[in-house]
Amino acid sequence: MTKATLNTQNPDITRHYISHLLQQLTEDYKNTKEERKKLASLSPASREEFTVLEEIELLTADIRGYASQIQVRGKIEKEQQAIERLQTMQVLDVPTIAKFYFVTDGDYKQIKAYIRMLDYLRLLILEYLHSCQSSH
Amino acid sequence: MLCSGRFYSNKKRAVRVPKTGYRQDSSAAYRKGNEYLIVRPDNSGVEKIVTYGVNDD
Repeated sequence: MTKATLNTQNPDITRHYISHLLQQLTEDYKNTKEERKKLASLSPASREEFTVLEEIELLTADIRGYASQIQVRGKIEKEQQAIERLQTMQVLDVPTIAKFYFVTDGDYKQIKAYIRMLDYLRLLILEYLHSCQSSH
Repeated sequence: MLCSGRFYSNKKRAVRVPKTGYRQDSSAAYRKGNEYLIVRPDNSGVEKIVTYGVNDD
């Protein structure tokens, strides 16, 4: 198989995988319900910063939004801008999420699995956009 | 979406984070009771709903 063949096939496979992950994330999100309730009841909301749940919700909206564009249309508006933005959206670079992830050792397994899956989807979107650019 | 619309129309009574302006990623949150709404301004400066959530007790 030549490199050229790989370049034309990979985006389609990745796009299919992104669709699959979107469905998986919907299920994973439902599985976090009990842990989200617990987290909301135990963590008083600061008036200065977003809560962990708000940060996760915002990342979910942003990352799922890009993934949905790829699922439906195979492309993203303002592709280069999206790449630059996605590169800065490492989930564990968000201080509130990193603190929650590493300090609550052993707890909140479903939410942590969801966070990892969300970051994986982000990386997959980046891979898709890069492979589309290199196949142009 | 209906819930978020109702919330947004009454957002003046909500707690805003940050109190003024936006975070570095251009977002802000409104909280009221167990509900929260995250917004970003569009090119005209009009706040648009990004996402809406409920912290169930």
